[in-house]
Amino acid sequence: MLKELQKELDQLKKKQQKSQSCINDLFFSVEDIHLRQYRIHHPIIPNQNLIIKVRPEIINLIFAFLDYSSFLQFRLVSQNTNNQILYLLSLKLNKKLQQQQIKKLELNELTEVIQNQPELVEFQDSLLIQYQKSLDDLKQIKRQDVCEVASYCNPPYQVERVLNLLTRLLTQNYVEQQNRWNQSLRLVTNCQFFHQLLNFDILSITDDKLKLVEEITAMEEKRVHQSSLFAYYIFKYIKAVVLLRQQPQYKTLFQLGQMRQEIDKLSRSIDKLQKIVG
Amino acid sequence: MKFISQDDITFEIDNEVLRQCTKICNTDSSIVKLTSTKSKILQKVIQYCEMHLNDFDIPEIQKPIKYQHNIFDIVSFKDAQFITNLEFEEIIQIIQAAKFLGINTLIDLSCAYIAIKIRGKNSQQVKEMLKSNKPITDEQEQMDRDMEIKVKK
Repeated sequence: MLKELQKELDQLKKKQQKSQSCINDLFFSVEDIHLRQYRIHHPIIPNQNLIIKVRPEIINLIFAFLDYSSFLQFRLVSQNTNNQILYLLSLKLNKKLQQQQIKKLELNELTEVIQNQPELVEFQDSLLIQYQKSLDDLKQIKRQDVCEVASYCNPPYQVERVLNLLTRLLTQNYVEQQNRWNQSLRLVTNCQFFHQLLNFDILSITDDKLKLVEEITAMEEKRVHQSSLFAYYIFKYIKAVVLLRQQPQYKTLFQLGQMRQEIDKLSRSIDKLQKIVG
Repeated sequence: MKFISQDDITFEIDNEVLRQCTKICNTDSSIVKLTSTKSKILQKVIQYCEMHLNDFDIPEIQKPIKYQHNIFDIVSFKDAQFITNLEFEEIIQIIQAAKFLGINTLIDLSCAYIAIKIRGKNSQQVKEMLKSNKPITDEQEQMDRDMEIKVKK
């Protein structure tokens, strides 16, 4: 009997506690109300993102120092930056379209000049295509090909000859050394070699230098191809450069080739931008 | 020439120091009110101009910046030291002030530094980096709003 009474008493106590907590929840204390009211009237704004404060033109100035991948990474920062970047990209796109139009006009003018000179028309396309193809081939060269050639102690005659001619072409004040092969290897194994090769300016070839490398036209293409693929690509490039430089109007022809390259590059980047902007 | 900052502090500057300010140096006015620039920022901008008092030709920074380069590789040591001692928020305000005054070298330096900091980071890291350190209270917001209205008037 006593036990039952004790149980009932416990239950009653629990019920009382529950109801008390409910009453407590229903009403705030004066202090609590004051605190809540203060928070409503004086909200603490979370840390602002600085990007909201920055004007689009300043973001544009910052992006001028960045490459495209970092630029596009910024799109993911917020909706605001995404909109800004899309806007900036569309501006860039318009600028590139304008550049393309200007280049096309310049190209048309140059083509008209060339068409007035029949001797140029005859050669221009074949020479420029040959030059362009040789440049494309150069881009296929891998580091392994260079390493393979560099490992030769006694290189095949054709390979040695081609690389020597390349050294003559790319070295500013060429002086022939006793060990020509080592001289060529120093050039080829340099880390700046590909950059130097792909950005070589034909207009910088003087008449004396042309005489030094003109031998390339006398070499047999098949033999070079058989000895090394790397040497073959280099051979094709030097030959194209020499043939182009031998033309009396080589400056105009080279300009034409460069202009076509620039237009291709522009149209490729325009395509990319159009895809991103949608 | 006198510069008056947003918080009404006046800075007197020699004409030689102003040589870097391409938009201001050729004007006849003797007082320039910079309603959107705080005195702390204006002080930094003047410090930069004074630093280059004897530099007639500051080399341009190459665009885009090469991946392996840091700020000490692309600008002079004193410029790099100046910019690395500033906070991000200050740099952004400095760019705005420099743009107003036409200090192109300071704009380039600040933008290049931010670009280097942003480069190679993912969006989350960039977000973290650009977070303001100071929480904005409603009083500050009200002050900013008042200032904007004042500027518009």
